[in-house]
Amino acid sequence: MESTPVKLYVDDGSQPSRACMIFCEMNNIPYEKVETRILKAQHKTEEFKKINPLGQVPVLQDGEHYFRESHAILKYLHSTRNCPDHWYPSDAIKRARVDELLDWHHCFLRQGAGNTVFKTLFGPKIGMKFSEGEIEWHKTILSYSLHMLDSKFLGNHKFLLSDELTIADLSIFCELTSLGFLSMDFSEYPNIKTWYSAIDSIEEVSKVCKPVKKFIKMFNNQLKAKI
Amino acid sequence: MESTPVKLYVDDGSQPSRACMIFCEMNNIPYEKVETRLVKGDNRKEEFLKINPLGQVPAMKHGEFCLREGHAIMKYLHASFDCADHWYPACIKKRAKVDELLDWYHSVLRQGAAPVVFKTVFSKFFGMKFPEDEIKMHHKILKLSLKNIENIFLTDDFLAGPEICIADLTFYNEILQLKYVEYDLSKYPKLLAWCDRMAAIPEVQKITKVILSFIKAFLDKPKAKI
Repeated sequence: MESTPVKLYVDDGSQPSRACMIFCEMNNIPYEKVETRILKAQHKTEEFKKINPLGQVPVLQDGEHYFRESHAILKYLHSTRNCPDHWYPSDAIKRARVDELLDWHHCFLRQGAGNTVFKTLFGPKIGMKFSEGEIEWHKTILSYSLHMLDSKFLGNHKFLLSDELTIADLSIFCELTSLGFLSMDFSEYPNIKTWYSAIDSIEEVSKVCKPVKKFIKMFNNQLKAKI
Repeated sequence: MESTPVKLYVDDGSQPSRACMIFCEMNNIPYEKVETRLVKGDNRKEEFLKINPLGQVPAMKHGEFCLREGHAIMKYLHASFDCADHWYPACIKKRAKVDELLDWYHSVLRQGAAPVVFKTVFSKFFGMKFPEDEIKMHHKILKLSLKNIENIFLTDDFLAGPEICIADLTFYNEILQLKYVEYDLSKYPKLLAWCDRMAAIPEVQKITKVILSFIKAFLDKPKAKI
């Protein structure tokens, strides 16, 4: 069982970065947070690309090994740091259920939510241009994803699969937090609202999400001031 | 070792469906292929929605247990049928490297390759239309994906090392689908060499026979009729 502290190369604004930090906090995994700011293009430096040639956050450094992709990182930490079973159960059937949700998240919710927020708000700030058609596509997927989450995945238990958290809850929760930039409050999605509040009230979640929530508040206030 | 039979609800035209079938073939996992044709709307029928309420293929039924998502299915089968380690290694670090590839596939390659093919070729059959700039976006993602595979991922015979893993199956089937649009892969020599290695596997040939015949028929058709 590993006990060496890890380094997490993260951006507070990055949903998968927050999921990894929350997991470490909730499982008492000591980590060094290495700020890698996307808006300052720190993920594009030569130095960073040596540890992740894809130029993306989060990245985990464990000794001399580097891992990218948040779901891979969460699973790796779970296996190596003696974390409680409920996060990513060893039972093949229960584990497969978590895998279903993690994969769905990548193909749908992330494509909708992550892209809508980035392409409407942040991409243009760093000189990127996106077409109307492209953004409409992401909005369609976002709408579909929220509907599926509310009507198919949530409502049967306190969390997605049971009354205990899994890594899928963290991943999906963090994706939804970023929708605060679009001033989304989930009032149309009662199951999402209940589940979201339950996770939002967890101490470690509050701690990790504090910077992004502050940023969201500032951002929305600036928008209101302009109107 | 499990002995309950496995049912795979698949469409030969579906990339992850083929990956799951090849996995079963290469690991001698007996399975019943339940044809679930997307163009016939089989995935929208009540009977199928009980297996996968999201209405997508592939789906799997093993005894009473129903599962969706190609990667989840292959991982589950790997764990349940005592398959060779190289497919999804028990070593945590090696496994994490396969997970990196599987996750990237969903976020990037699948977002480029599949929509390029679907939105250019198949959307008409489903009565759908997509704006030009949306298709351009998918082409950009596809190009980036292929560059990443060529320049970053393929450092050995297969994606995660000298032996095949489940990521090779999903990546290969996604790239195979690009034959529908006669996508030019000549700029990616390592990728082409890896494709040849995959294509030489008998079980891959068996499972991809149908899709290759569809592609040939499609490309041979006079364009005006499409």
